[in-house]
Amino acid sequence: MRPGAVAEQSAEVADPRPRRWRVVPGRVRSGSAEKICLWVVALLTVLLPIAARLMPAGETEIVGVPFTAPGAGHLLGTDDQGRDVLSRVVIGLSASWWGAIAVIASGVVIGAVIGTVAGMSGRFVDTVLMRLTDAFLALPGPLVALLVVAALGPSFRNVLIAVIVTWWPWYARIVRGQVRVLRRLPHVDAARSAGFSTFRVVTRHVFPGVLRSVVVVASMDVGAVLLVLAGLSFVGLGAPPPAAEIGSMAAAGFTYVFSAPWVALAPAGVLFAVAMISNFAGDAVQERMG
Amino acid sequence: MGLLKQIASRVASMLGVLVVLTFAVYFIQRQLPSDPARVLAGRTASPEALAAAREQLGLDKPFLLEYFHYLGRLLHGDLGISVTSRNEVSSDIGTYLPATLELVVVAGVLALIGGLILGVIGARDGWLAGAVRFVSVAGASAPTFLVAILLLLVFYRDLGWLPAGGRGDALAASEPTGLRLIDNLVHLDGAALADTVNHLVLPALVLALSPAMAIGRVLRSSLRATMATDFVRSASAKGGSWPAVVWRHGLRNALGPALSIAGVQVSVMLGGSVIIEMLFSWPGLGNYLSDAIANSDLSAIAGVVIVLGFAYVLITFVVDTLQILIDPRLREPV
Amino acid sequence: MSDAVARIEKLVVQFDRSGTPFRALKGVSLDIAPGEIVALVGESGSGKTVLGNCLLGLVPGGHRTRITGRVEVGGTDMVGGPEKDKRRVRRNELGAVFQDPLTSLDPTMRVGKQVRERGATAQRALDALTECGVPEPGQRIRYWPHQLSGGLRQRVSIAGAITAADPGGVPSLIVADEPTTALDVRVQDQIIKLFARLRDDHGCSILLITHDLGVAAQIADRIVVMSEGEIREHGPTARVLREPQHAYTKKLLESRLDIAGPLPPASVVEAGEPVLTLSEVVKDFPAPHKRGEKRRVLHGVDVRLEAGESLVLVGESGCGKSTLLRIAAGLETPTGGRADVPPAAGRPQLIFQDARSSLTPWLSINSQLSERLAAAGVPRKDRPARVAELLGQVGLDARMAASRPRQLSGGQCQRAAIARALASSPGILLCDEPVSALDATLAAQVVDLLDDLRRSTGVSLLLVTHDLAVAKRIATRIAVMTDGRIVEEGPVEQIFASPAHPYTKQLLEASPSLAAVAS
Repeated sequence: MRPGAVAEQSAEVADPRPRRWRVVPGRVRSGSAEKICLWVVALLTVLLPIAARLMPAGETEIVGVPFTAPGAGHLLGTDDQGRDVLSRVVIGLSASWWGAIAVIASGVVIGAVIGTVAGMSGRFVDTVLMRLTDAFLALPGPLVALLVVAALGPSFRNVLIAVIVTWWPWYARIVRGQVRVLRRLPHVDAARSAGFSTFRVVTRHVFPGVLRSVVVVASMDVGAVLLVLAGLSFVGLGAPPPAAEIGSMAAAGFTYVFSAPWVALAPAGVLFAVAMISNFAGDAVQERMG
Repeated sequence: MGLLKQIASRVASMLGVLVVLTFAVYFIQRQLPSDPARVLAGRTASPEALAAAREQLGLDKPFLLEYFHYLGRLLHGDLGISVTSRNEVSSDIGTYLPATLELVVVAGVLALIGGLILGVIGARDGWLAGAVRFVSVAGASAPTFLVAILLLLVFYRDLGWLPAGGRGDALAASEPTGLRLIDNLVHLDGAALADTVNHLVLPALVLALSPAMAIGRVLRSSLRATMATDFVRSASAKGGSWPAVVWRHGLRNALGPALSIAGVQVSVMLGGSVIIEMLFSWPGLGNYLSDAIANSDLSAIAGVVIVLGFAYVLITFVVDTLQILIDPRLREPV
Repeated sequence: MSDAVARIEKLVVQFDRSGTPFRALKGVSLDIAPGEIVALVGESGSGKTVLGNCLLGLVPGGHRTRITGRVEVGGTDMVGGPEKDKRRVRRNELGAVFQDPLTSLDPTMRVGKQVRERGATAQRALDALTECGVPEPGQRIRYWPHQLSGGLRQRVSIAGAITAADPGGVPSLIVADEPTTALDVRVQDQIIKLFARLRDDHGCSILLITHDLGVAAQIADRIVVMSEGEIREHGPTARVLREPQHAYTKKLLESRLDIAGPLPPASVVEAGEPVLTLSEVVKDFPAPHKRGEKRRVLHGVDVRLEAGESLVLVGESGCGKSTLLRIAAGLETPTGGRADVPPAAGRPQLIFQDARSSLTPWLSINSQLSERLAAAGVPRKDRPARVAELLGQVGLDARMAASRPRQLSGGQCQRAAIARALASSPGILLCDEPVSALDATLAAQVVDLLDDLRRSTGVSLLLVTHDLAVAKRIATRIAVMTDGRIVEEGPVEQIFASPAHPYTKQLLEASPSLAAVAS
């Protein structure tokens, strides 16, 4: 899945099999690029809902004549029903952004649990859990998400569930890979030879190293998840109208694209801008770890 | 022996994934409030007809047996009946598949070429690499519908160079393959071929954009890592020029990660084709699917997911096998 | 010398390290005469590798690197000249061999093709492989690199380096950057001899870049000592080793651990209680790539370590010495046999080769030590004082307690790791190649630290190393291991004075030493 995911990365020369991330555990430092990335994500997470509150019009409020062109009255014009496009875009974006954060947070939690258990366990448990994860990864993500939403019925919550279903395996893979690398490092041997309990070894000498890199990786994925959510909403899988959603707004506006292009272009353009901010922050991180 | 054994194990895991896929699809279908037997028998069917339909669909058995029954039907090409078109889903898919296939294959080739160019240019130091890096992040952040709308506004509305949508049915031959590019070539019909290409350009470009960027960035970073290795330093020390060293040592070693990401991107393209087909009124599976979504036609949705899923799993298998061929360490252990 | 093969004049190389300029070379001048073997000796960060790369015309660091001065090979400017000329020189006049034979061959290209990459004939490649001592070259040219051992791969690299484009031609200069560092002692000795033979047969010059004066002493005509981007001293090998002029050279010579020379004053070890007994230890690992098959790495090994003694296990890579140590530490369970540590001796603590990664990267030195103290039952209020005391014991400033491992140098990391081990008040320190990743001057200090700790605290040492010189400095008893067995064991004096087993003799002969030249 992960269209345009910035995080796609693998350059292990010694091991040519697919490995998405070549993160050296413990080497992901709180350098400037990572800080920028995390700050951007945090800032947008806080600012978007505030911006949504401050919008001149409500989500479904009719404020004027349909198809008013962008101008002083309505910065991004009005849509086919006379609703303020700017307000709807910001409200929709704020919801999608929080949705993306929710998807990633759930993915990280599920992935961290499964990945850590697999990484620390013996061969059998590891094999079972990873085969399961790989099977999920081998399924065509967008199609599975589509099927899940279609089955559960279109709603924003169901879309989030569908994307989580296809998204967690990535994090499980990363966590498991990192745990397996970390547990073989001398500092873990040193901790084990001190006689510490397995729980202590994992929580204090393994997991913190995993957590850092996974949080950084995950924060870079927000842009990609936003695009997936918008794509599903565009196809008609999302909150039913009249809810403001980037994808469905673009789809609705597409009908009038040649006479009133702003109705479709505004949500698409704003989504592009936000995804790009998130992806550039991620790219900076990736360049350092590359 | 190494090679055959490796391929065999990959076939086995492919079959495993197919079982998971079909099981997931079946499981999701069965969770629904809607009753497939009622769909088959019709809204007004008598209880007896309903029971007969239930038996026909294998719904009267325990869940696992039901699943095997379902697998059996799948193997015979029976995907159920669409509520919207009242046709067999499999025959609907047969009608729409060639259009989607043509779109995805052309876009796939474009994405590979584009990714290769971006990756190789981006791997070398200098301003051009910086530009490539900027373009790929921007390209990866652009929603498909934004790109499609912009291209339509420019090339259709303003310049009038390219059509707004469709496949250009008027002129085209659709025999023998249903893939217009090939059919028109076979018939040596220049005008129809040009028309087909005109209709194909925009959707294929838009569909190829994001995968090309993803392939490009992975290739770029793995090529950079490869070009920093000792064996590349060694090859340069033997007097190889940058392009020669990239060609002989760099690409071969860097291609693995790019290939696996290309495999993943196939799934992105299959998903993206749904949006593209809606935007460009492309008469393919995506449009069929979006109609099915609008009508909650679950058999049709499941059918399309199964068919595209099979295609994806197959392509992943091919990509994996290619990697064994590229890397001797995977096929000839010490 | 107007007929120099290579000439470096006032070379300055300045890198851009994220905005800060860093001078790797600060005005270096050097001539290499035809047929001369020049050893460029320096510790890590001295700029010796940068110099080698400049000779090859491979300027590191990309377009932000600034270079002044001249580098000429065969009259061609290798830093400022046109790329085309540089490539011609590389094809015809130069050969390069790098440190790590595992990474210096392209894993996706057959061996033969790599040897004749510069356009030599297949026959020429065969000859070169034969000359470099690759057995059965006719078959080996069809091998992939990963199917060869480290030593063979390095021979293949050298074969590639001497196979110039010109048919039958051998380059006039071979740049060998630490070509033997990653190899076992005996293989290292063979490769060094191979370089000497190549020079004798073809009259090519060799620039041998190494950190080890002992390797330089084996074959170099001239030694150039570098540190911090400057040449400190240069002259004929015997002169530099016998009468070093520069203080830095003297320091290098003094700190170098060498198998020659007198044994350090023996410490009287009273036959004490055994603190570790390994009896008939057998260990199997699953064979890679072969399901169900086993590979036996230890074939019934007996080790008895007594209180206060220092037993050194000497062996080459893959002999099972590290596995034995991990079994002693309780990190691996033996397939057969027993490992006994009497409860009174406490848990054995490990010291690792890679000191930095043996410390948890995200925890401060203080928390890593305190954690151990807590486990050992030291009350919370006493811990800070105890941490300071431990750091003092290993020669670290108490203020370093607040540091994280990445803020410390390699030597400091190893000291911190030793302090952490001591925090668990062990009866035994198990040391796995504790100094082989350190520069010579630091290595000697850390070895002496371990020795002092043993003498002052009575902790027993079980140390594994590939380096007999380390063993000589610290051991009371030596055990020689090969192929998962201990083949010879005895007091340190006996092993060095009258080695009994042929393998021990081979190791002693192959160990690079200054003795040959410096006496």
